[in-house]
Amino acid sequence: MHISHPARRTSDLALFKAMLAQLIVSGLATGSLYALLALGLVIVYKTSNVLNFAQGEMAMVSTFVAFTFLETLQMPYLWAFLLAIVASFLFGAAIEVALLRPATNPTPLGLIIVTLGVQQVLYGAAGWIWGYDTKTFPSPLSDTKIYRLGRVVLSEVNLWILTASIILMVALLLFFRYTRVGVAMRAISQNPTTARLMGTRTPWVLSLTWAIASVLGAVAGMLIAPITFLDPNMMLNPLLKAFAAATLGGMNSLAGAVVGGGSLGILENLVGGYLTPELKDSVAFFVIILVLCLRPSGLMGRHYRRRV
Amino acid sequence: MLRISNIETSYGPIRAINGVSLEVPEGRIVTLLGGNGAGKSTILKTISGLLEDQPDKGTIEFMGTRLNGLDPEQIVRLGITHVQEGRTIFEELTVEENLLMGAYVRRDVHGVQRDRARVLGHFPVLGQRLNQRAGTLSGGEQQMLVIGRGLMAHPRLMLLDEPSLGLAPAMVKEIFQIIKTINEEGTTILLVEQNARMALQVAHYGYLLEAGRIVLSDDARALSENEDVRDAYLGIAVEGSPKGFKRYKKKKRWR
Ligand SMILES: Nc1ncnc2c1ncn2[C@@H]1O[C@H](COP(=O)(O)OP(=O)(O)OP(=O)(O)O)[C@@H](O)[C@H]1O
Ligand SMILES: [Mg+2]
Repeated sequence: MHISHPARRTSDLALFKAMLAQLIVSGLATGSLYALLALGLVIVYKTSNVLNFAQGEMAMVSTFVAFTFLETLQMPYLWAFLLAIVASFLFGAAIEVALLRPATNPTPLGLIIVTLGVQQVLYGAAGWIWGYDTKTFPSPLSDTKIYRLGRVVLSEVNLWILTASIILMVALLLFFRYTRVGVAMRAISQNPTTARLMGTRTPWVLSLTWAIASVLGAVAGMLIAPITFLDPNMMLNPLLKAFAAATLGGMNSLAGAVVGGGSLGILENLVGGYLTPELKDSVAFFVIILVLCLRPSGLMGRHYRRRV
Repeated sequence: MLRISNIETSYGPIRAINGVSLEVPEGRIVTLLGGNGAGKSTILKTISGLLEDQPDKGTIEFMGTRLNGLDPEQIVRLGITHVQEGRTIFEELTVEENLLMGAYVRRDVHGVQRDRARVLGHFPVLGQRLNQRAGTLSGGEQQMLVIGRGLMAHPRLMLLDEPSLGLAPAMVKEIFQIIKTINEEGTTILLVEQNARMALQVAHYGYLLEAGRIVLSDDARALSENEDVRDAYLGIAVEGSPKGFKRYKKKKRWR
């Protein structure tokens, strides 16, 4: 008869549980950053029908702007953060007005190419202005100071990442549910012609979605920069993850972007923790491929058929 | 109130409207009748500004303002609401949100509340479904929502495109009754309909459109007694008419 060691078994199990909880919580923190970027992708996709490949680089530029406020202008952190948000809002709107709006009768593919162009230009411009060397993003938040929640530990950075993301997501939810412009945005994404007949100024609302997407990216960028450091490449990887998250959640679902971001962050961490860290970054690819095969509209997306 | 003079509208190279003039006096219901593809919807779209750079020729004037070249979002602010054909609801929005979108251009909160109550009075079923996703409404309910949403703008002139389409007979009667009430409450209406019989019952005046031209216009009562109209649109055969042959020829031309 097999004799087991009850004490050791429970402690093994407890350890396993603690590790699982830990992986999930820190995965959730990373995932919430993916979710912010994915939300930016989704709101632009819903209103303009464009996959915005420049989302990452727009976020990167905003982060560099915050860096300039902090380092060059020596602003207090809160001020730099808020000013960078304002700047990114204007920046997002400006990109839509200057580069996407002029396209007359654009095809979705044409607009995607434009966003690829924007990405390249921003990348080059950032390298030219701020250089390609990696910089440290000053942060008042500590990576080593930790908070304990039972057996789970959470670094101060991750705690703020979670808090800020949740605040932003709730704000966005309230905006789309309860404000006139927010509801109009959803209406435009479903039926732009009818929305115009109701009096919505569609071009203006489109710029607003780009502005909001840009802010989401900026916040994600400023939260992630203390961890990943700062250089023009910083958003390549997160943006890919955001695409995976948006695909997983459903390209046209805001809730899907949040769920997709969170689950991808957790999934990655579980693979990294239990399987091998080497595979962590590939999870996003597998997710994209699996979703496209099994459920192309994503977890929460709807394929809505348009009546002609 | 609305005066259209000699407009020509085309979709690219295809000319859909060929010199149409019509007039909608304040406080009236004017109906625009015609077969499929006659150009009825095109005229409404030209008025509400949906067709960019149209009309090619002619003028549209609303209470002294020229509408040519204005965008739909400007035209709706002048007090013209276009209720499109088909169930053009916002499917992912709730019924309540759809109604609020109808009042998008308005700032008078109390007025909006009053109109909301009025709409729910006309269509009580919408009141029971306020928080339901509009896409889950039945076809008829969606049609009611589209009309209700149009009313939420409190328009001076309402362009109604086939409001009775796809409704059960009892509901058709009700819709026309509601249209009449809306009109009596002060909204001028330009009504496009396939259901000529009902349309001529509520309208004061009517125009007959064929292949992009007005072929006949008269008081609604006179139109509903007009042989050609009876024959082609009301489905009433006039047996033994001495003009039978002539009518037959006309009919052929019309179709
Ligand atoms: N977007 C478009 N592009 C090209 N041609 C169009 C377009 N919309 C309408 N047409 C054409 O213009 C003509 C008039 O169409 P319209 O929709 O105004 O007809 P209608 O009188 O409303 O018909 P129905 O009763 O079937 O709704 C038709 O011949 C139609 O094929
Ligand atoms: Mg039509």
